[in-house]
Amino acid sequence: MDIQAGWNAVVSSPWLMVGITVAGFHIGSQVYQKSKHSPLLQPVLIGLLITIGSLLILGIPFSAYREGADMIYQLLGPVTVALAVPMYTRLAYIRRSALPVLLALTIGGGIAVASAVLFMWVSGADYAMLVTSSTKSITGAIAMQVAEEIGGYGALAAVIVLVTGVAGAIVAPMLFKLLDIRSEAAQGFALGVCAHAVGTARAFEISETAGAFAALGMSLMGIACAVLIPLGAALL
Amino acid sequence: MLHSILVLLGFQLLGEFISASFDLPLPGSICGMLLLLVVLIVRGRVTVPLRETANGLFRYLPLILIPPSVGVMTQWRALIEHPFALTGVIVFSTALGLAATAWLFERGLRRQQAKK
Repeated sequence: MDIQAGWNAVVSSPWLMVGITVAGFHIGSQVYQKSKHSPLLQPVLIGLLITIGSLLILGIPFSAYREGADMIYQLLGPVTVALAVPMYTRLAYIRRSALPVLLALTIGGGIAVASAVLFMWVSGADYAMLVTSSTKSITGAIAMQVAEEIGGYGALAAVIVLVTGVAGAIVAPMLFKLLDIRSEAAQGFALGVCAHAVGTARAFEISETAGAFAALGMSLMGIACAVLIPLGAALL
Repeated sequence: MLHSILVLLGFQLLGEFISASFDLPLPGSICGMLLLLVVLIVRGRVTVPLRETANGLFRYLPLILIPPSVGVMTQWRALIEHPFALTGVIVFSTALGLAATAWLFERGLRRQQAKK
């Protein structure tokens, strides 16, 4: 019996990577539920920390993890396609909200991007850093693509996008209370525009209406940014 | 259930085809989503299984976001080297954007309701 060979097989199996990720998310969801939905204990944040901790303890490099856990990540495609369904079922509401949608997307989304670039510039970041930070509110896949296209850092864009999403999901409930935002549509739309997929996941916890508006906000913001940010960077 | 999954996969592939053949800056999944939305609008209804499958999948959206986020492992230096510049700026500007977007949306909604 060769225990070392068995251990090596387990450590290099893609199912270990999938298992660690699902276990981390499961624990995260349990903790989140036990804490009565404390915004600081986002399942994605706890799951992420547990996953990273496990990889460090087991000595698994990120490259091996990414290869194994890729089958989970690939599901993002069909799940994104499925976002058309809640958008369709809330279509009448979305149509009636054309004015707030346009207003909030152009000015609110503009502030989210412009403030990040401006504060970054004030704190003395270089050009690549500036353009990378402009992608912060776009959903993951588009952000990396856009960042690389305009001469930013793709890998860093992914991190900035993540921090944006988690920070948004954490601060959103407090902000909505503070500003007395009661409409689920407004809450969802803001989460989708400013905190992309993580915000959209959070919005589906509020209600299906919030989720539909988050999906709408995330898509419109993604489309606007994919077209406008490269144009803006070309003008700089 | 299987039928709904095939619908989603079909639109994903169609989206990838269109994104690549027209060299669009949008990923295939977003194109697929827009196409599915157009088809649903044209057909004027959505089947119950498709709705149930979609809602079932959304519960796992945060799980799907964990693998790409683990990349933070390799980038943690950037977060620590520019502690204010990066983390602070991101958190602050996200809060600002969220507040502005939600507030404007709510204002616009109230104005529209007041008109009617």
